[in-house]
Amino acid sequence: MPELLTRSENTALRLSPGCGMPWTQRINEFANPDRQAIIHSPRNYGAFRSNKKIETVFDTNVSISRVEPLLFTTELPFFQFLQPIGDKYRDLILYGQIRTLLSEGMISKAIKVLLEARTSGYPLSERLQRLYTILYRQSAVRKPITSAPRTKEAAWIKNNWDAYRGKWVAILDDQAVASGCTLKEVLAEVKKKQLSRSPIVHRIQ
Amino acid sequence: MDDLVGNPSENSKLYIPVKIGDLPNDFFAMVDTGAPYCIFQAEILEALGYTYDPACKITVHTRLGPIKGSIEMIRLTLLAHEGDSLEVESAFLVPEFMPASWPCNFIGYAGCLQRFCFAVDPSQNLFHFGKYPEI
Repeated sequence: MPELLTRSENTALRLSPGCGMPWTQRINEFANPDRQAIIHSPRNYGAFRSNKKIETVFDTNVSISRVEPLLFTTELPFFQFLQPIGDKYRDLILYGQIRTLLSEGMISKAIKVLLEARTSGYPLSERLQRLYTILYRQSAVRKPITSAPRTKEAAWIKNNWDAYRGKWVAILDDQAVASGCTLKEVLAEVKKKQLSRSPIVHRIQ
Repeated sequence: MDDLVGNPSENSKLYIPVKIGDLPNDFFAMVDTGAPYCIFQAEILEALGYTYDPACKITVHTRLGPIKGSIEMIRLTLLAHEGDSLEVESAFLVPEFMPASWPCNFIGYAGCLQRFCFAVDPSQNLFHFGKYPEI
């Protein structure tokens, strides 16, 4: 089939300007190979040759290769405007996915998704990068710290629940060393007393 | 401690003493394997300087209703009265608004408990914990 389609500078599809024959006739020739017509020679159109076959070679490969799929090319200028929109859309989808996972408590899966996004080459937005930094900090370290059992403090809370309801209290052994309506004032009071051992602080509901 | 509620006939809960962040004092926190994150009293998080970040908002459903908040990793130290204590980087939910009836501090599973081994001996009222063995 001769070249019928071409790509102009404006990427518009149009017929080749070199077609001299009517379009219907050209289709008939192509659909009926018995008509031993050589397409590019108008004099042989429609003539049957009984003893001599003239093979017509349709160089379809040439014409097909000249028709490029326009929709998927990235060379067109207007696609450069779509790239940042695509990045933002991708970020939105990923952020929604991470939020859903975190709302369900699936921290490990959220970290896995973020890791995959990082390694795939897509740049993470600032908020996703921050989430990744926060979630990836997982560690458990032994510390040579020993604390006295808080059995007496727990017993004090049970026994004095009603008297200190709604208040913050700091308890050491079996007595309250500070109490107040806010945590801030209790911590300040404890700091002022400079106790040898640290009391336990609890809000009695 | 298995009960810090005023009425000892109510269901027992597991309370352990912990240190949070750089605060010098200890706090009681309830072990809650049903909670995904650690959720502490808002005043404690404020004292540490953590505030809600709307850019990283999530919603967690609790028995007191949905709570909107953001996730922060805060250092939580489980205090031992025998052996070594354990310092764990734990996922805390910093709430936008804490319900007024929020009962106490909770240590959640996915955000904290999952990062070390633990066991409970109710007969002795003991909570055993330790770091995962190195492979």
